[in-house]
Amino acid sequence: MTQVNRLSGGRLDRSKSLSFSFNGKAYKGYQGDTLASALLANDVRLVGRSFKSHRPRGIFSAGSEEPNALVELGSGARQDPNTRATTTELFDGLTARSQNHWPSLKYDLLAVNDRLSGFLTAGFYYKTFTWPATFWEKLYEPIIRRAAGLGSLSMQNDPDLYDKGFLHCDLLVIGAGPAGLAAALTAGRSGARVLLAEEEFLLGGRLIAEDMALGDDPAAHWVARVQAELSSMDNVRILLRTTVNGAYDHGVYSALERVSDHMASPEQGKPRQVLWRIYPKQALVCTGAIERPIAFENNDRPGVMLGGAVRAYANRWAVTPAQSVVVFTNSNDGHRTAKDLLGKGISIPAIIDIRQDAPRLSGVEVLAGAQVIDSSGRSGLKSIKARLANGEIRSFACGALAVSGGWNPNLSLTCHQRSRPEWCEDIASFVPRRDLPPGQLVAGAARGDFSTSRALQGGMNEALKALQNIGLTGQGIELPKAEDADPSLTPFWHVNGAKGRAWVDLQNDVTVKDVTLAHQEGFRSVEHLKRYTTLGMATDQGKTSNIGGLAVMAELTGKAIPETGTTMFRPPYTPVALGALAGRSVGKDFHPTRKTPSHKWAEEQGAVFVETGNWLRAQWFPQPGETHWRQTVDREARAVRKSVGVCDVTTLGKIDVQGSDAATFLNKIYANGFAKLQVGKVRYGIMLREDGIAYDDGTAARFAEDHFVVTTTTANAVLVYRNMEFARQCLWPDLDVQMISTTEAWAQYAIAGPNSRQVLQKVVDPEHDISNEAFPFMACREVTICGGLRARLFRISFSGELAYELAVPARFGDALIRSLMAAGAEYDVVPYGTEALGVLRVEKGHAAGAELNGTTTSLNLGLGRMVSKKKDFIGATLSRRDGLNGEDQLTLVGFQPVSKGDFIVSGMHLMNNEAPTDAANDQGYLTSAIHSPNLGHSIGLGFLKNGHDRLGETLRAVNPLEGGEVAVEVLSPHFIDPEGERLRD
Amino acid sequence: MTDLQMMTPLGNTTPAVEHFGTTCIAEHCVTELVSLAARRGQTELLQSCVEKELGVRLPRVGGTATGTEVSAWWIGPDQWMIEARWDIKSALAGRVAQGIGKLGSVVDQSDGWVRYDISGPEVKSAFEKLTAIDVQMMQSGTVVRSTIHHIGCFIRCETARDYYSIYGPRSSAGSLHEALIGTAVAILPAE
Repeated sequence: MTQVNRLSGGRLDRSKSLSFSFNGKAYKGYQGDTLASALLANDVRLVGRSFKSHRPRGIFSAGSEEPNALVELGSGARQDPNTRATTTELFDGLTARSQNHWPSLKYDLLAVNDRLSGFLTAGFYYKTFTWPATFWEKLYEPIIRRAAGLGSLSMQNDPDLYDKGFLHCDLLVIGAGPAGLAAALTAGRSGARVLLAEEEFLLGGRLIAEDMALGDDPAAHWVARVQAELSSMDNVRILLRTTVNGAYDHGVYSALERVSDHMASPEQGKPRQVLWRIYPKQALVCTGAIERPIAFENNDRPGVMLGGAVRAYANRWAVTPAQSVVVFTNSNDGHRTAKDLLGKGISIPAIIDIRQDAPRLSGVEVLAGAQVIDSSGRSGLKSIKARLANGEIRSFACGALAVSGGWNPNLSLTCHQRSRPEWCEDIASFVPRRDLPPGQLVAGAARGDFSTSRALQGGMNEALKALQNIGLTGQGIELPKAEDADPSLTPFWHVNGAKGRAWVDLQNDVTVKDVTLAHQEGFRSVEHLKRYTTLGMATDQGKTSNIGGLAVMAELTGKAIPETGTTMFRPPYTPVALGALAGRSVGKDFHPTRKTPSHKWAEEQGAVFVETGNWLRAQWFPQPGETHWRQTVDREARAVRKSVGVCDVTTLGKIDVQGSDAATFLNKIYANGFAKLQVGKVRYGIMLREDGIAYDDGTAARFAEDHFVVTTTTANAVLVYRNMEFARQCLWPDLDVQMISTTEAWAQYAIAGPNSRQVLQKVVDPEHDISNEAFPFMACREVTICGGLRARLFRISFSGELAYELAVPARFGDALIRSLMAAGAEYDVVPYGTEALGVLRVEKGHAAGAELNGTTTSLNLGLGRMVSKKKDFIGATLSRRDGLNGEDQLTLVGFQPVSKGDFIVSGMHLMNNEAPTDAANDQGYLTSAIHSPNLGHSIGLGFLKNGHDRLGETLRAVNPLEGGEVAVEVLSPHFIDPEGERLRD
Repeated sequence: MTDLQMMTPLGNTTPAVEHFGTTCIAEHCVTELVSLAARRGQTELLQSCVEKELGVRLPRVGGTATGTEVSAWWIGPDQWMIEARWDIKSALAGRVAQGIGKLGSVVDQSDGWVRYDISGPEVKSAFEKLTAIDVQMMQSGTVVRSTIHHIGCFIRCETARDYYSIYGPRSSAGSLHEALIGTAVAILPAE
């Protein structure tokens, strides 16, 4: 028989029968069920094993506070571990499995841990695995890590999409119980932008979990009417299946919307979940309360449940956990559970009420002053044992025990800004302090107003207050008449005198004895208690255990609970999948990419790309028959020196600088002089940090007296622009300077090699003379090409060859490179990538990123003479420090192996021939090393102490980390054309 | 006239136009852009000059202005972007520079940006997934600068709630396009 525990009524769509499986066995449920309610309906009580002791565990609660019923959902890449059955909406085809057992849930050999409980006490890790110390890393830790954890990951990539989003509203109402609904309706009618976030898939909160009336109607009717009205308002948005997880600085909230978790898989292109960042002007926390258990011996068996949850299953989901249910309580709330179950025909053998003055309830034996002292039933509760007021011990057969120890306001969001709650004696619980985070208010049970009437009133009042706070006017709404009963609670945390274990924290297997042990061993601060025992950790973050643990510690220390204090509340309130935190920033979309205008052309040429920041740059262009990247790079570098090559240099930063003080400004930015640069000329420049260290190099071209174009390295384009903008706005605001980045606007190509001018002359319109005389080295000019297209031409060279850089509006970049390649065909033009570019610049001895490494000065780089001693500029003062200008400074020199067949690699350190290999004898290091196809052997650049005076010396280049040593000769860094004749040819 | 073929920021010869339900995402390639920055102390004179020469009043913070031939929007203190219909002669930068003389600095930005026009009754839902800006409350003729999927963009509200122009860096046109399309698909009504 299926669904033996299904009752009549409830908020289910019984016309929609759903099939699901648990541990491979097929079951049926209804639309509106959670996995937990459907399992209970099918009399499945054993759903998992506890974390440490592998004790059998069942469903404990009916919400996100669930510590026990954690299951693995789905399969394959969609396998989702540690999911709470109590919040998992049932859908057709759902598959779930229990976790943390071997070989099966019922017969778990790892339950031997339970027999070893005497050893596995609080802090046993710290006591047990201390000797011998060497065993920790290789033996103990791996074993513990394998044994730890509950569910398992699929180890496959998550196939689903996750979105992130941003919402704005006047009032964020968190929780749609009586307080939240009253607040949303009040604010909604005022015209305010209202966002109502509800964790569940139905509105109503406890209103749909209780058998209660609002006015003359069932509460659910009022909920439906309010929902209909809110849904009709354009200014109100309802987010179902959405948990507000965190309250952050400046009144910002995070919320996770489970868009597709109630489906087997999301629709194509739709996200599984959305992580919202919400910017409300005011936020009203209406998150209700969480019931607390009472600890007694063996209180962890499947069937021992929170009383409010048992009531919710009966009223909302039409399910009873068993046909016979005993109630254990310290307030009238337990009686309410018994009454509702009785009304549905469930047997209530007894209400065990710790209060001596417990009220009577018709049809049930109420045992006043009694306490539950033990339970039995290995895989599910069979009976409980009670000690009556007169000391007599009685047993009661039952399938479930509904435990009600009172309610704790769910105040987590009020404390995420490091606030601690304050104790309220009236309800024996913590309530939010008055100094809430800015813009935050609290209403309903979350504030300690436990009656429905006070929750409704509080929701309305706080909404009106929120509206007033932001200058809006609202009016009160007509609230239905509701119960306003006092629960008459007598605080009671655990049953004293237990010989066995009484669980405080079900998820982490923390017992009263563990708390006692922590106290004995001196861990009395609640924060220490938490870390020593693991109380309140893991997926539930102690929602049903923290206060109980504090209460036990308070008893032991002789302090009051508020003196004992609480641990820190931190977001997220419930677990958030890492996928949701990542959003769409995964895989190829981890960061945006930047492509040059000729990217498609480069792809057509088979280019291999490399990431440079967000840019994708062609690294080399392999040709048929080339089987190794170096064959390709050698060919490209040789071709440039022999004839001509074209390289895409679009990615270099370009900053347009204008204004009557533009030259003065650049003269302060660069270490070398720019004030007197002629119009139509380009100058190489170096920029220093304030501490005198070089951080970027590039060129500035002067197109007019008041107009420069600054180029930067690709990597530092943003940094240079930011520094220049800071200087313009903050250092020299009186200068007339205007700047804007034009990096994106121009496609720019280097045309390098002895035939570069011939190729260019076929592209540049004939009215522009680019002969050596008319357009010499370091000239720049605005020209037209290909029949009138405006362009900028620079005669600059990174390769050491006769070379130009030609820039055109980006939309013509693709066409230009095709045109250049066609024009250069008769000269065997090749495209070359960044790798050949690097080879060419090392051969020429140009410094690049490896040399401008954040530790080197102009002097180190061999550019000391460029740095002006006459003017002020950024970094001037500190660049003149003695420490940066001593005679023994590192200077940039070239290296080649003494034996030409040897290879040197960057990072090698330099040692004198006779000196030992150690830091004390370190002479410097190699920064760049390549195979030079034009020289036919390995060469490198590096920094050597007093390097300029040591040309011709031989040293040892050593690699102590990986082993290896190469004898190297110190040379000029300019391996090719040291006099620079080719540049000027 | 040049014989070189122009390419759109997405690397095609014609602009991409795509529909996702009621949402349309169109690559817009028929305008020229120039940035205009006032020379120091010349803001008021520049205002007058631009109004006289271009027929548009340079807008205040977050604003746009539309004349008969050009439109303008604020991009920073004393800085604006001027937009006009694309002319193969790329005449806008020269025209503006000539018109204002030394009152301001002009830079051609036509090729620095990709513009996507996104329209339809559901676009506000799309923007919820794209930017932290409260786009739903933007009035027609306003502009903001924000990031979309880590890409710095201008968002210009053409018609409140259903028609916006997004200007992003040209080199990231593909990534921005993917972000827009992914979101447009995500907000399609459930099947």
